[in-house]
Amino acid sequence: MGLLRAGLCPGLTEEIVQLLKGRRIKTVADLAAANLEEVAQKCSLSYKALVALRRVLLAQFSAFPLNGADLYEELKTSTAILSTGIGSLDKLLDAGLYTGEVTEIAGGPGSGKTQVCLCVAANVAHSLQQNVLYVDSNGGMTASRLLQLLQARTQDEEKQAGALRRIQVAHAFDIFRMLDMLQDLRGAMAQQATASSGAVKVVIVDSVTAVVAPLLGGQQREGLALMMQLARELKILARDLGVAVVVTNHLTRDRDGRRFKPALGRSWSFVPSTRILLDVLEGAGTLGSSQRTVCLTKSPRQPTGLQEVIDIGTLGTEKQSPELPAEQT
Amino acid sequence: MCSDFLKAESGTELLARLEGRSSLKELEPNLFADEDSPVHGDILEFHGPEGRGKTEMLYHLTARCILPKSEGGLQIEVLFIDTDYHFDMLRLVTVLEHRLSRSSEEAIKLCLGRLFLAYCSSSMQLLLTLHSLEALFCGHPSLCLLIVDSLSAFYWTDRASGGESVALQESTLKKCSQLLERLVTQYRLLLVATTQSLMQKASDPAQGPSSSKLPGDGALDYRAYLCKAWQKAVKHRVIFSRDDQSESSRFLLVSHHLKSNSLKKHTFMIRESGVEFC
Repeated sequence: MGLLRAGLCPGLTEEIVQLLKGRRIKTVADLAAANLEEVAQKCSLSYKALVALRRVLLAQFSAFPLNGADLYEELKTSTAILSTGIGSLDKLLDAGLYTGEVTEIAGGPGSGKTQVCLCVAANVAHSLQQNVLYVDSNGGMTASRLLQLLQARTQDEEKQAGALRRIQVAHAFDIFRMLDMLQDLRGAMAQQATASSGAVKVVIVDSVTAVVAPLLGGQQREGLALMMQLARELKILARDLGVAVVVTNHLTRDRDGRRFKPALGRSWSFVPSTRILLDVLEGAGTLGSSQRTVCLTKSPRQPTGLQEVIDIGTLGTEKQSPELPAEQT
Repeated sequence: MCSDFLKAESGTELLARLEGRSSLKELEPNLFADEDSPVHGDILEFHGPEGRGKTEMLYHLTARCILPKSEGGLQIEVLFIDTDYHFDMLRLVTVLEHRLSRSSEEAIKLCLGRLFLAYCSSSMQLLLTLHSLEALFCGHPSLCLLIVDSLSAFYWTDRASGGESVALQESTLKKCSQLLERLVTQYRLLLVATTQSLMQKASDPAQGPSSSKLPGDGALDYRAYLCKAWQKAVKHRVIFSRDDQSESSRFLLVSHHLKSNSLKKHTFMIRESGVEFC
């Protein structure tokens, strides 16, 4: 990034690029760090021109500091809280999924991660009338279950069809496909007019472990770099495009083999702002019980350790919070 | 380039600069193991795994700085550089609301007007942003606190893109560290940078070559992995951990002043109003 070449900015001619190369100034960073008086003398270039060039290039490539008050004004109008459709889960999440944040649902196999994701998709599409992108990476998503959840909410077939149309399903079984998909989404959303009805409000990635776990382990650094690239894509999507991102993650054993912890390691643990852990209810009796505990293990605004019980078998039929449009903070 | 700005400084600007920059002593004495700290030009590193209170401590410090003097703040400006889209404005506003005696939109906006945010998405962008900050520092004499959250965000990306040479992998971060040191000394700022605990603690403290050992305290949970230039620049290292044993969630910070090798421990809790020392 930032290799000096002719036309990179107005005023940067091929001649200047070559002269600078002669002084071993090849990138924007080199130019920013160089002693311009010395360079102007040795290259017989105008000092003023070099200073102007440096200013323009820095303005182009560096991050411009924003004022906190302006940012707050913007966030107040653009942040929304989306109810998950599960009352007790909403309580843990402090009213629901916040746009601009990445929320992680971690749990072992059969703990109900996909069921919760499907319920969120159904609720957002039907009750909140917003668009959802469901990225499936392990084949756990079934349209029939989605329809079941919608049928439990409304008998009106028109409404069911409408909700189904608002849920876009995409498959990505490796990280490159997933990265492409997220970048395409970002590009498409950036082009659309603001507050257009076609904007996606929730992106669900079920699961992120399926595409990242194969890359980790061993001495490869590339795997971790790719994981961090995916993390960045998800965060940019959430932050810049006002989307609530939900990811599911598996569990692995702790180093000493005793406890379970969310998979993907320490570097990933910093990525989501909120994490909930799904687990089978202790002493729930026979196999096949649909009771699950949900525990809040990471949150930017609630104390951790809060716990609730949900029933994944009746996610569609339990008493819902009344139909609400997307709340604005 | 900036020497022109400094020469043209007026008397009031000079007073504002000196006055503003001398009030850092009351920032948060609990964070410093040294009696004389913080001084301008100090560099603090917050280190620890996720969920240990580093970010909350940053909000605590930010609130302390941007609140007006009438509300117990220092009324100075802060620049917050966010490298992993972690900054939560709504949380900061909640902390401010709890600390203001009469919280209103006006008061909040006045405080937030003293905060500047820059988002960097790569170590190269961080380096170039630091180069472009000289104008901001010159133009804002009451800007005393520079926060970088976090410095380790690009660690894996840099390591993968630097080829086989470790020096090449670290080169951009090395330049960032050196530039930060120069800016902090030249403009008399205080730098607080967070580094994430990305590596597993060495299971046997005696084996880990880079785990730091302290007198009579066993090994602190710190494994150096960032470039040497950064290790040399840090003056205080504050290590955050969590007291898992106790019922109420208490957090523990250990402040290590590197030069004098002195240690100080404090426990704190995190409430709705932010960090509260016990």
